[in-house]
Amino acid sequence: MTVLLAFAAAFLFATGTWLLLQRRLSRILIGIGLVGHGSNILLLTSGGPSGVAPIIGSAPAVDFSDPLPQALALTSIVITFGVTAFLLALGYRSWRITHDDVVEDDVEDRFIARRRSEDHIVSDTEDAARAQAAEEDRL
Amino acid sequence: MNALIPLPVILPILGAALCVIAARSRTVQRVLSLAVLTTNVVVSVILLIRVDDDGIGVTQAGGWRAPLGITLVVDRLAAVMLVVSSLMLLSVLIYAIGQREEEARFAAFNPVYLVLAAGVSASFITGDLFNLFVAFEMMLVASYVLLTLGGRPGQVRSGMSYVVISLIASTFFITALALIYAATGTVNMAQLSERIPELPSGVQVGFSLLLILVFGIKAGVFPLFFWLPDSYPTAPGAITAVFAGLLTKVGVYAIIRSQTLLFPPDAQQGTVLLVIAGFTMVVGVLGALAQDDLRRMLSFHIVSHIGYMIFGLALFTIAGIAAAVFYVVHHIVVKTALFLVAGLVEHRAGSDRLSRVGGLVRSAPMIAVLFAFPALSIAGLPPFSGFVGKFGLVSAGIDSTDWVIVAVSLLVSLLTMYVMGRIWSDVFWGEPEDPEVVEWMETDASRVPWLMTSATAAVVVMSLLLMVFAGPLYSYAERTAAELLHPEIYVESVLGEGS
Amino acid sequence: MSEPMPPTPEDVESSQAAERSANRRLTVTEMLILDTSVKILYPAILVLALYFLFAGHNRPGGGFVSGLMVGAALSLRFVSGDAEAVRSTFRLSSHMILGLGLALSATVALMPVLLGGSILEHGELEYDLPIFHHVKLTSTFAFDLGVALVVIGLVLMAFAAFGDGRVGDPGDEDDGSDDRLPKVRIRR
Repeated sequence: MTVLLAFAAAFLFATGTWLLLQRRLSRILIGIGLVGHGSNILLLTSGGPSGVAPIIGSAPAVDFSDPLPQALALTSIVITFGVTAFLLALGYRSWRITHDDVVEDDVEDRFIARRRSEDHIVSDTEDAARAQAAEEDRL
Repeated sequence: MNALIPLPVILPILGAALCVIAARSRTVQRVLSLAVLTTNVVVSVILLIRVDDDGIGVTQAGGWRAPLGITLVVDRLAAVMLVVSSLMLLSVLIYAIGQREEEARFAAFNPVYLVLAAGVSASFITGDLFNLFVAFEMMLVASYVLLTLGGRPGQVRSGMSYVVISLIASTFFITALALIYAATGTVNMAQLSERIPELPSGVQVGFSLLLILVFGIKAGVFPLFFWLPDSYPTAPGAITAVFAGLLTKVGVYAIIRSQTLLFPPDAQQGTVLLVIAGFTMVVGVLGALAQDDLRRMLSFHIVSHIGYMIFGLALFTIAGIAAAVFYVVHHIVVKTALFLVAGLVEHRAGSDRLSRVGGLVRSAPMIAVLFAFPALSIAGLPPFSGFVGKFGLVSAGIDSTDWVIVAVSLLVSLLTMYVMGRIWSDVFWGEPEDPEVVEWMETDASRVPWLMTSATAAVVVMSLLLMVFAGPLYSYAERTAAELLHPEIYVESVLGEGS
Repeated sequence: MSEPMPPTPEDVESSQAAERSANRRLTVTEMLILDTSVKILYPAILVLALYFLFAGHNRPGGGFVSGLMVGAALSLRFVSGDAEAVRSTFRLSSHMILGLGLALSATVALMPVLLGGSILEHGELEYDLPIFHHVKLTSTFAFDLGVALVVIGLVLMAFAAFGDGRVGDPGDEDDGSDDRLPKVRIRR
C-alpha cells in the first residue's frame, strides 16, 4: 500500500513539474494541483503503515494508523484547495483582460533591457519602446 | 503573561470577522482595524518586556501538553519581531486610510489586512513547524488578495507569478514537513531540536538545505529572488510598503529560527549561507542600479539587504546573529519608510519614474526630508542605525576571518550609497523632465493628504529612534543571539524539565 | 455582498429570460429528472449536514464537512436553477454569514483565555433530558458551527462572484472593469 502511494506521489510530482514548466496558464494550474496532491500523499505516507481508524475504543491502540499526518494532510488539502480556487479566479480575470491564457512577460524588464541595448533613447520614444516590448510579448 | 501570547493572532482574526460583518461602513471598519492593531502593539510591547525579564513564554492551545498540542512560544527574537511588525502594520494602515485609494474603494481591504497581520504574528509565535506552514499560508493568501486588489492588468500578471511561486514554495514546505515527520515522528520544533541530531548526518544536511530552499523563496535570496522585484511594485502603494517591510523578513526569521533551533552545529549551513548572502547582496544592488522605476529599484534593493541578514546568521556567532537581528529590525523600519516615501513621491508627482520626476526638493521639501533620513540610514552612514547594523556585521565578519564576505558587504554598501544618491539626484534635484509631471503637480489632486505624510513621518521617526536607542537595542540583540545559540533553553521552556 | 434586494419587475423578467434560455439548451425530460431529484436531495443533504455538524465531536464529521455538504446542496440548486436561486436561499447576505461564523469561532477560541485558561480550551455541559437521554454539549460545537458558517458563506460568495458572470463586490466602488485609478498615473 505504502509503495503504491509512493509511486503515486512520484508520478504526480513528475507530471505536475512538467506541466508547471509550460507556458499556458491552464496547464500551470493543473500542474500546481497535481504537485499539491503529490505532496499531500507524501504527507499521508509519512505516518508509516496504515491501520484502522484511530478512534479510541474502536480497536486496540497498536492497530491504529497515525492520525497526525492525516490531520496535517487535511489541513494542507484545504489550504491548497483555497489557493487553487483563488488562482482560478485570477486566471479567469487574466483571461478576461488578455483573452489569452499565456503567462505574459514582465514588460518593465524588457523595457529596461531595450533601453540599455539601444544606448540612450530620448524621453519621447520611451513609450514607443515600452509599447513595442509589450507587443513582442503578446506574440 | 502567557495569556497574552495568543492575542496577536486571535485579535486580528476576530477583528477581521467583525470587519466583514461591518462591510457596509468604512468608518466602523477603520475604527475596528486601528483598535485591533493598536492593541497588538501594546500586547507586543508587554510581551517584549516580560520575555526579556522572565525568559521564554509558552502557552499550549487547548491545554494539551507540548509535543501533542499546538504550542505558542515567545522568545526574545519573536518578541522583537512582533513589536516591530505590529508598529509597521499600524503605521501603514494609517497611511492607507490617508491615501483614500484601495482602502476606501474595497470593502475587503480591512479584513484581509487584519488576516495578514494575524498571519505575520502567527509566523513569529508558533512553536510548531506545521503551524509555521499554516501561518505562512494565512499571510500569503492575504497577500495574494492585497496584491491583486483592483485587478488591473499589471497586477494580475505579476500576481499570477507571485501566487504560482509561493504555491510551489508551499508545496516544497509540505514535502519537507512530510519527510521530517517520517524521519522524526514530530513537527513540534522543540522536540525536533532534540530528535534531528539523532538522524544520520546526510539526512540532517538534506533537511537543512530543503528548509533553506523553502524559506529562501519567501525571503527572496539569490537565486530565488526573481519574483520579488516583479511583483511587489504592482501592489497598491501602501501594501507594497508592508510587503517590503515584513513579508521577506518573515522568511528571514524562519531561516534564522530553523537554522539555530532545529539543527546541530555540524548541520548548520554556514558556508552555503555565506555564498548565498554574498550573491544576494551583489545581484540585488546591481539590479537596483539598472531600474528606472522608483519602487522597482527599492524592491531590488530589498533583495540586496536580505543578503546582509543572511550574512550575519551564516557566521553562527553571537556577534554575527546579534548584528543580523539588529539589521532585520532596522531594515523593516527603514524599508517601510522608503516605500511610504515612494508612495508620497508618486502621489505628489503623479509618477515614480526617475526619468520623469525631478526637483522635488523645492516643490515638496517635506518629502525630501522624509526620504533623506531613511536613505542615509540604509546606505550605512554614521550615525544612523544602518551604520550600527553594518558595523556590527562587518566586525563580526572580521572576527570570524571571513574576508571575502566582508569585502563584498563593504562594496555593496558603497553601491547602495550610489543607488540612494541616484534616487536623490533624479527625484529631488534638477527639474521635472516630463511636462505631464509639471502639469500634474500644478493640480490640487497632487496635494499629499496630511495623514499620509504623518504616517510616513512616524515611521521615519521610529527609524531615528532606532539610532538613538541603538545601544539598548543592540544589547537586546546580543541577548537574543545568545538565546538562539543555546536552543536547549527554548527546548526546556517548551517541553518542561521532564523531557 | 449586498443585502438581497426585493426583485424588481425587470429582475424577474431577466431571470425568467435567463431560465428560458437555459431551458432551450436542455430537453424537458432532463430538466424534469434533475429538478425532481434536486427537490428530493436538497432537504436530505441539509439534514445530513446537520447530522455531521452534531456528530463531529465523537464520530467522523464536523463543522467543515457540514459546511461543505451545505455547499454541495447549494450547488445542486445552482445546477437546477440559477445563481439567483442560490443567492436568495438565506436571508442574511453571504459576507454576513462568513463574518458571523468567523467571529463565533474566534470568540469561542478566545473565551477560555479571558476565563483564565489557555486558548482553544473547551468547556462542556452534560444533561439527562427526557427524550434525548444523555446529552453532552461542548463549546467546541460552537466553534464547529462557526467553521460551518464560514464555509457556507464562502460558497455563497463564490456563487455570487462567478455564478452568472457578474464580478465584483457591492460595497466596493470598483465594478471590476479595467479602468485605471481615478488619479492620473502617468505612464505606468
